[in-house]
Amino acid sequence: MKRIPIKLYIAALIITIVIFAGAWLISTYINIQKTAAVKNEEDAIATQILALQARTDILTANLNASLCASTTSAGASATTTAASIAASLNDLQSKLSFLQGQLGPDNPDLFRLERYYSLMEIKDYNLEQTITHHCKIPNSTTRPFILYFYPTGTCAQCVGQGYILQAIKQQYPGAHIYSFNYNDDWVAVQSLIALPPIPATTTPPFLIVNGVVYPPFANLSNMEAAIKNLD
Amino acid sequence: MPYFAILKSTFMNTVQTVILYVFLFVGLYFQTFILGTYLVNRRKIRARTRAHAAADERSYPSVTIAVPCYNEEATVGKTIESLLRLEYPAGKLRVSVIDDGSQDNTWQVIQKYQERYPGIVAAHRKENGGKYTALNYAIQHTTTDIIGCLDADSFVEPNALKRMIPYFGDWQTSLGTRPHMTAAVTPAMKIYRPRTFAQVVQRVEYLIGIFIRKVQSLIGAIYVTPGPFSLFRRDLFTHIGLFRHAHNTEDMEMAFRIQSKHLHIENAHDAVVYTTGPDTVKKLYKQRVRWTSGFLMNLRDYHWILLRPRYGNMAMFTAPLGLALILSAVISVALLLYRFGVMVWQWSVRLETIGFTFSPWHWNWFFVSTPAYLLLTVLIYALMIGIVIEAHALSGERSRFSPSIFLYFFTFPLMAPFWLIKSVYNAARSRTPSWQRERAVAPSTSRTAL
Repeated sequence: MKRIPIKLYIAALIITIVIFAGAWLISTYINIQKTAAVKNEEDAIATQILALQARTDILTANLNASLCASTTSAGASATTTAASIAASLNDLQSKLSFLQGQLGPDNPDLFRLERYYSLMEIKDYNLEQTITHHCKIPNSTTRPFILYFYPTGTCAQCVGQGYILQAIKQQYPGAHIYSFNYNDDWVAVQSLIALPPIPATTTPPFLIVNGVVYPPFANLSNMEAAIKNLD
Repeated sequence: MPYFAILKSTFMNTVQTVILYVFLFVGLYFQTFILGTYLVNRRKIRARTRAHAAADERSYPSVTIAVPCYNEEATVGKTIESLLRLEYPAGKLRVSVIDDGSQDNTWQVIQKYQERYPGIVAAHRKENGGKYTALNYAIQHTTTDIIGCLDADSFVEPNALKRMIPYFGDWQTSLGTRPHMTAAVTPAMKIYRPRTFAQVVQRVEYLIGIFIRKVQSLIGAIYVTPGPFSLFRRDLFTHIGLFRHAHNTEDMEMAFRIQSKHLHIENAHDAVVYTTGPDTVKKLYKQRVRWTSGFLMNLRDYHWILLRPRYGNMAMFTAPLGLALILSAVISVALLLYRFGVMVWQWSVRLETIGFTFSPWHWNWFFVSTPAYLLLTVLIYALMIGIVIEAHALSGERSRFSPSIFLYFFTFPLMAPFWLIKSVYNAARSRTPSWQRERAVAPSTSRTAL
């Protein structure tokens, strides 16, 4: 029997701890960089929304025809910016979902970013609604407005609904899809929930497609039928 | 309800994360320790190898190699011939072949060798009683200083014996007269001509085993004296007794007993022995169930040495770590199955809701996953590649990188948990896997690292 190499046992333990700490630091550093990148993107989108909102306010007050006519330079610019914001919000949502998988649902930085994202969604939704109403743009299959309210935690129906919304996004690039956590007690989200047409007794998950409340859809065809019925 | 759901989900995630990181820590600590031990002793290993090469062969002890066989007519001849090619002083080497009641032509084959090589090859025949009885038969009919064993499906390099003998050191001094004397020497085992998938992955596994066993010998923590060509001092058996049934893992029990008596087991990393590995996954599974069940049941029999420093590094390192690795594999499989179940359910929901549609994929560095556990896993695999390359050099081969390493890395961890789970079940129910049943599909009884 050979003697126990205590020094080697301790040295290996220290090296293992150092390696663990190193891996944790590298991983944390990369995630901080990614979180910062998402924050920058959110800021950029917020600036875009503010710019579009300011332009809409000015044009609504003074140049109604220019806002609604996409052939004019101001109208074309507003439409392009709105489409660009929608695309950016979609991209951001993918990144936030990915980060949630990486950092876990309880990460405080991520929680702030998600709230900020919800706020931008609400602002974008309001802006789009303003443009739609002001310019009297009819609801259409190519440009549906979809609000999706999901509950906190695990939800079997939400998994299927998530896939359906992803497919809708691909098939209807002009669709405006906004997702909100129904149980988020933040005043901005709760104000949206308090508005018609959501009945007080409705429990999540549910959707509002072009102003009509629906329970989660069983499949893609059902949701497409709902979009087409309102055309 | 949602708050309960959050708590439940958070708890499950936390439990999974803690388990994952505990196992990664154990795995990384094991690798760091063995690599550290090897690097600290590398010069000593080389110096000792050179000294052994210069040893005076005239002072070598007499040796008998016992070859227990049961229905080995196809391979025993080749095994004997490899022993006859051993480079060893004339008149000091005997080969004792014991037919353990074979039902094929094994007896006729070994008789021919006895007739052709009288005085060197001795053929014995007895009623079937299992491998350990055949070994004990040979020991009781032998008077040489050293006794070795070689499974009848294994073959030795001509210089293997010559390289192993010097590790016994002062073999003329009676065992027990000085503390910590070397009682046994084990070789470096390799897979003989790997052809099938199962054999190719075993080849890599055995290479890693060469490295680990060398390090285990450096700290006195070897837990098995494998069937392919382990050598023992003759007086060891009068000192601690003969081989036992030991849940069909007599070579493991012998190592446990040697260690518990404060004797030492050496490893000759450059003495190469080739063994025929199971050629199918099914045979491999059966072999590994027997080995691992044996390890667990022998550990239960010798539980009193566990974590007691007076029994050295085997009690403090090898045995607890072996248990931890088995436990980690079993729990990992449970987690993996859970994850797999979730994935299957998600796919079925996807199919049910949107059918067969595929999202376009665009590369974006943002979506590259970089959790700490992934970085640590990559590091552990990188260290294992280093170990395989160093093991080549250690066993006298040119250091090289082989793509089969990746085949091993990606398939072995998926297969191993199945035999580990079965072994834990066997050990819990004290069920000894049938040696005969295993031999019905796999002739090999040799073993390497768990």
